[in-house]
Amino acid sequence: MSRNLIALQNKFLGEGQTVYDELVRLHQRQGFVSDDDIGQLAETFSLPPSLVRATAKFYDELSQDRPAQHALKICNGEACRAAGCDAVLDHCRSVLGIDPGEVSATGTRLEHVACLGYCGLGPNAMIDDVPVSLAAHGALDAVLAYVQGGSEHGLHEPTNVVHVPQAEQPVVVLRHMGHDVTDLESARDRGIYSALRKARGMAPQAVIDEIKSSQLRGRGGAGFPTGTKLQTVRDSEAPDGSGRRFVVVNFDEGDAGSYIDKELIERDPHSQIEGILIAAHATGAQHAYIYARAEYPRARQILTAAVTQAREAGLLAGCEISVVRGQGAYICGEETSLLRSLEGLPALVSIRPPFPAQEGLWRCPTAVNNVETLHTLPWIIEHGGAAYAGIGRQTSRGTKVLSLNSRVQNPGIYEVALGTTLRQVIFDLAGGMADGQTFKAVQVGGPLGGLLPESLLDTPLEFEAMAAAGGLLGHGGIVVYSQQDDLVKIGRGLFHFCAVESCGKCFPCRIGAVRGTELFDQMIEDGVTDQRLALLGDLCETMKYGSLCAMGGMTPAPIESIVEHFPEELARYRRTGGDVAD
Amino acid sequence: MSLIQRSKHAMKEDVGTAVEAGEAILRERLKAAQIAPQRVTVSVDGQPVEIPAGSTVLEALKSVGKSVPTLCFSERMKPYGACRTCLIEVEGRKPVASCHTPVMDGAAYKTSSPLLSRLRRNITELIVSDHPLECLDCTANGRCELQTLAQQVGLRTPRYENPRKHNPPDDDSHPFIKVEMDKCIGCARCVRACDEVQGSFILQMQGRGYDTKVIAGNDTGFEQANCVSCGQCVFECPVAALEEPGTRNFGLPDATTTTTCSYCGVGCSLDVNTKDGQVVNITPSKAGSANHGHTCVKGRFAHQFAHSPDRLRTPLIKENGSFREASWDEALDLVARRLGGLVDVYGPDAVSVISSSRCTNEENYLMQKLTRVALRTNSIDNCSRVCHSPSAYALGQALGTGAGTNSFQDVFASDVIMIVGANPTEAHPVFGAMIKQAVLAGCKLIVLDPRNTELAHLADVHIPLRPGSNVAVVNAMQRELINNGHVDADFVERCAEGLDEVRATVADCTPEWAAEIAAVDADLIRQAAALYAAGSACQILWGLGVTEAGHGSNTVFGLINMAVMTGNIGRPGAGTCPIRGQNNVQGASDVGALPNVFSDYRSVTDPQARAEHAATWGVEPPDNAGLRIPDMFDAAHAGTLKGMYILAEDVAQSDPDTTHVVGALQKLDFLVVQEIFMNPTAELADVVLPGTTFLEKNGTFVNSDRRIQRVRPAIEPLEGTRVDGDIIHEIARRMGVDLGFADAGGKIDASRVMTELASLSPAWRGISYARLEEHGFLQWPCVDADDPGTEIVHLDGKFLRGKARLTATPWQEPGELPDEEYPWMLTTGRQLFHYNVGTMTRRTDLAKLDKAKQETLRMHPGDARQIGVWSGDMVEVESRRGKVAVRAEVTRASNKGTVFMTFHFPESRTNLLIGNAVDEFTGCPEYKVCAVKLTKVGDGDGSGVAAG
Repeated sequence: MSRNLIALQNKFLGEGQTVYDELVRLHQRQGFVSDDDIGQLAETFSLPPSLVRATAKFYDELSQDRPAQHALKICNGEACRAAGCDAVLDHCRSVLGIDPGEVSATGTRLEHVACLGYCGLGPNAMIDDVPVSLAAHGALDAVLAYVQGGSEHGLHEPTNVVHVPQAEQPVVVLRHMGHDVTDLESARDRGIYSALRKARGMAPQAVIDEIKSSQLRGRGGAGFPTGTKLQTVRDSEAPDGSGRRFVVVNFDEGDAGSYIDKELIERDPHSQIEGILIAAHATGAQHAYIYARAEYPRARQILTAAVTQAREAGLLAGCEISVVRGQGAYICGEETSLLRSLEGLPALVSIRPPFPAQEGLWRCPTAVNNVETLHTLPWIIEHGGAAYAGIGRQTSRGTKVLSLNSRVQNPGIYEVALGTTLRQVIFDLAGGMADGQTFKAVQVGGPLGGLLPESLLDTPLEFEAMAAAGGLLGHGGIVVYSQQDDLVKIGRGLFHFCAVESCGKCFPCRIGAVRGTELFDQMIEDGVTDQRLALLGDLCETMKYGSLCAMGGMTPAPIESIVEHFPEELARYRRTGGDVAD
Repeated sequence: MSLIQRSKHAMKEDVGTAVEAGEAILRERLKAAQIAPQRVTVSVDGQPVEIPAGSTVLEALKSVGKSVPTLCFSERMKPYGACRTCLIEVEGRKPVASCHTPVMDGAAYKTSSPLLSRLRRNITELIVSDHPLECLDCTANGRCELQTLAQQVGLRTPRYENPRKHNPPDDDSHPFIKVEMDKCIGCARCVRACDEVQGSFILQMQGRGYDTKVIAGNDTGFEQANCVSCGQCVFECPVAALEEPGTRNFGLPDATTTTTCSYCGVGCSLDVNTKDGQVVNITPSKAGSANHGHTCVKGRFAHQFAHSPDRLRTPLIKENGSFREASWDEALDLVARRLGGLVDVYGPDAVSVISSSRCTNEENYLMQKLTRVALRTNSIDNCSRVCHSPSAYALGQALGTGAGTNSFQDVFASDVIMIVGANPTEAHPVFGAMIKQAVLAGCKLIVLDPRNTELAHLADVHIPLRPGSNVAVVNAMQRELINNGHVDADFVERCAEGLDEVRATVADCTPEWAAEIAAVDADLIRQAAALYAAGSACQILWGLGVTEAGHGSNTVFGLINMAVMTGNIGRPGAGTCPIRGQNNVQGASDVGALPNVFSDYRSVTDPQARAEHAATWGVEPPDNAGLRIPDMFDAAHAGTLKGMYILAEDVAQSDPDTTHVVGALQKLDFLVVQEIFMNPTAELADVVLPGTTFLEKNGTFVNSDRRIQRVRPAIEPLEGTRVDGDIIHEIARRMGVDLGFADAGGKIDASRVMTELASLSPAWRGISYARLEEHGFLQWPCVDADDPGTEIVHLDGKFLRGKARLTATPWQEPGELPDEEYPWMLTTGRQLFHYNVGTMTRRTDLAKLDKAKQETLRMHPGDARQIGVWSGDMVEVESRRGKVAVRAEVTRASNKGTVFMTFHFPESRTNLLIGNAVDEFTGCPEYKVCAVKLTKVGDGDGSGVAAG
């Protein structure tokens, strides 16, 4: 992280303004950022061209350097992979005559995207700014005809299913589901913002104490106690003595297979705003930034409208809220990377300490929280921390929202008390496997979670218990694999995902992810051998212990779990007659 | 890196003030190091270590002599945490990177274990899997950090099969920075050096993941990206992805000599790496107290001049208008006989000496001793006359010591810096980079400069004042300070005198009045004064744009007034400092190469000083003030000066009003010039003596912040040349005077010269070669052998002259003003890639850089439009004294009405244009203020950029 580059942006763009924002504006205006644009922008604002360029080229979106009439992005997340996205991509390639990253003669840019949040409906794609399901017969042809100058494709953004818990089950986060509360008036009618009024009537420390007593832990994946984090922010000071503090909402829900935050924001944006404002009151923050994923256009639009309504209604009261659009970089879900992105720098992961709660955005104390975490705060203020702590088990209290993919009978969003087992979720709540599917493995918490076999399905969904089983609770995205899924190819895809999305700073992740992908390719094409498995083991150990952040550190987890729990998957790739000599 | 080396005084007195100064790094480091000296105890491999809280584990390891491999770590820069080779184990946790993990009280760290060995080996294996396995074919072979690491961890060929490798093409186009990015390991040390040390931001890591690569600018390569070629990226590169040409051409050096740079006044410490008596390359010395491992393009790369084939290698004697080669004996005898003869016939004051700020203190001391003892005159001067004499004069008069009050690193303790008439990022690049870092870290910046310099661009307030209007603007600022209640009454009462006269003098100098003269907005003057007043530790830095810009002494007095009246002096970060131009211009004056003072500025009429000198020298020194440089030329024209001895100073090119100077030298009966290259001054000589470069000699230089540092010979004097001090000694000897210090072979022992110099100079009494070796440097005043030297003079308002003098500075017009016939103002200065008249730099590969190829007239697009020129067209620049033709360069770095030229290119003869107006107190010429007219005289090659 370069303090100097922040100082230059403050000097030449204005305090708190960033080259990232300038690039985003430019990209929104014309759909691409050319080399000349980079040079011009640098000259206009007296900024180093290297900074402007490096910032642009960090992101998939801002790297687009030539115009295109249409952008067609094919999802290759795990759920869509299971639903056949590779064939979709191959078809697009041959029809358009280009590879991903290129622009066709008819002006269509073909790209990958990892997860649009419709994991129950795959294969999915994003056509221009609209996510669509290609599962229906003829959908892909309609899309391809459209981008080649044909008539409207007639597809619309699909809808996920949200399963509100049964009456006897605890419901915290999904409590307003089933009611249209996107409008401020209806939100207020449902009692949203009453917890904010209550919190603002309390001393900030009392709010923090209440949150502490709830034993709430961050729902983004790391599970850090939320009350402690807010306390640290409150107790820390900006180094310039300005008293500035920030709340940053991590709405960069990039885990393939997770669409929890998306549904919370789209269906209940005001509870999110209420949660943000409670956190701001508790910490003393004067500004909140919501870093919203590029792949969620509808959520961003609903959220922006809700923020505007709240602002106009005078609810923000001293805490401005800005919605910042992500530009296609999974690593920006890592909190230091996200902060660097907000600062306009190339969003490389930063060393810790300093932790963001002490020294975060622009070196000021910053509470970086996940959407679901903040969504929980109004309930805690309303019902008290003890009530929340009364749900769940052990060190994992409260509820967790989960999302499931199309391998189960009833995919969609669920909320469960922590401590519920995987088996209960998959086989009771979600109705078991979909027709014709046999359970093979389940991966919880996105691409960094270990794959668990049938024998571990009684593991309760708790932070510690899941970790002990070699899995992850993470953010709660659940991808179930069936007999149709080749776990070796899944493993290859996970390594490849890390190779594509690694920030490139630390050596083990930057180089290791590529070597891991190559190793899987060699095993798939040329056979699994003991030497290759040994090297894979060493590589996993190196990345696990050597990487700077959780992305490189946890990419080996699913790989190791495949080796441990699914030896027969790898054995299928051994050449007959024992090891194939190299 | 210790940016905050404080003298014992500062340490004791003023830590608190420095903290308020608001510079974040300083505050944090002070907190960690001094204010909160909390220490924690940890153990490293079972060995207990006590270390300040906040230290990293790596620092703890190093403090007990343990080491772990590192690749991305550089102690000059902030920890980065990328390579992960420095992993260590701590109980109960996963391995952590020691470079950025702070120590925890009571923790037990392990630097080795089977797991750590595997991790280090396997990380190295990953790095090497994307690296060419061609060590024998690599210039870094034998000093490559990756190679060393691979050997340490026992890695041979990586196990990965057919790994995809990066293989971008080499880029050999830059003369100094050779790029072979297939070797890059992605540690970003180059990028961080460009940011955290040089502050140029040319380099970045672009892209994500495996495709991350180092780019320069908009991925256009170094030169197009406006790289300043400081070489810090090359210095940091652990492999040979960025490499300099030296080792390519010569292989690894076999000897290294640490010495002091002979370009500008920053005084960078350099490691000169040699092989077989040839300079292979020069690298910055990390131990250098002024530069901390930094250098600029000149110090780093512009050294080939020393081995230039056209070095003077034999004495020359002029006969019938042309030179013939002569033996040393013949030439030295002739010089001694002719100079001695002129003294005998016309008296001592018929000869004069110009000493050299490029030479060592010891040589300058010898020169003034020769002048005063052998020639028996005080007519010796040095080039500070034509640069910073007003600074030395005004500082001496007002405060009691003729040098800057603070040290370079004090910019990190300032919360306001005001720079007047100086362009340090080009002329003093290493100091300029420090200022830039301070400003980016939050220090406020005020710049008074007619040009839109790099620092002006970064400034909070930039006053683009017209050349020659300094006094008016500074007077208005003083008035603002006084009228708005910013005078520190307690401080002034206690420590200063003369406020009433100043108040009266500036009473009518309203911002509007000054703005009219300076052609700027009056509000800028108000803002600048307000910003200065708001600071708690303000430092004023200035350059030749003050001293060479008409009434220079009065401008300096005005700046000192501002500092004194607000109490911004004698504290860390608060003071008044001229940025000296040449490597030893401070020292040449310090040791007495001046017509009115002995060493340490002791007047030649001071009885005590005279008695001491007479006792040491064995003769009574002359007591009449000698001639200053401009007076010498006048005296030659008048016929009263008959002979001159000029040491390494090309006055025929560098002094103003060239025609007048050349005429003077031609009128002399006898001129001897001691030089390393034939030049226009030497061409006029009767005898030319081949001297040596700084790479061949022993001695000391004094840099801009009074730092006395050693100069050590890295190579033998080239055959046929002699060390300058030896030549001076020999001339004296042949005149029957033994200056002392020489061995039987006539070689000077520089350390003995220093001993005598120190004994005669109260502020230098604590200086000796033994102490310099021990401390690396000493800053004068250094009064005895226990004195650590003085980082900040006048501490606590205890001025060396007693009370500081506030001096009235009445406004006067400059000697030169534009009129209808000569409507533009020409101002002159340096550019980054050359030095003075280019003698040295133009004999190096610097001349291959696009920006260093030729002189240009920098002009604003509006001015260019007015005379109908484009970049590249030829323009005739005519002043009231002469005219030259030069190519136009249309740039917004120039403001409307003011054009700029350097004096690096003798063929463009910039100084021919300059007038003979001088500062009334010191005789310093007005190089910076010259009215000219501009006429287009030829088309360019069409490659130029359109005006406007």
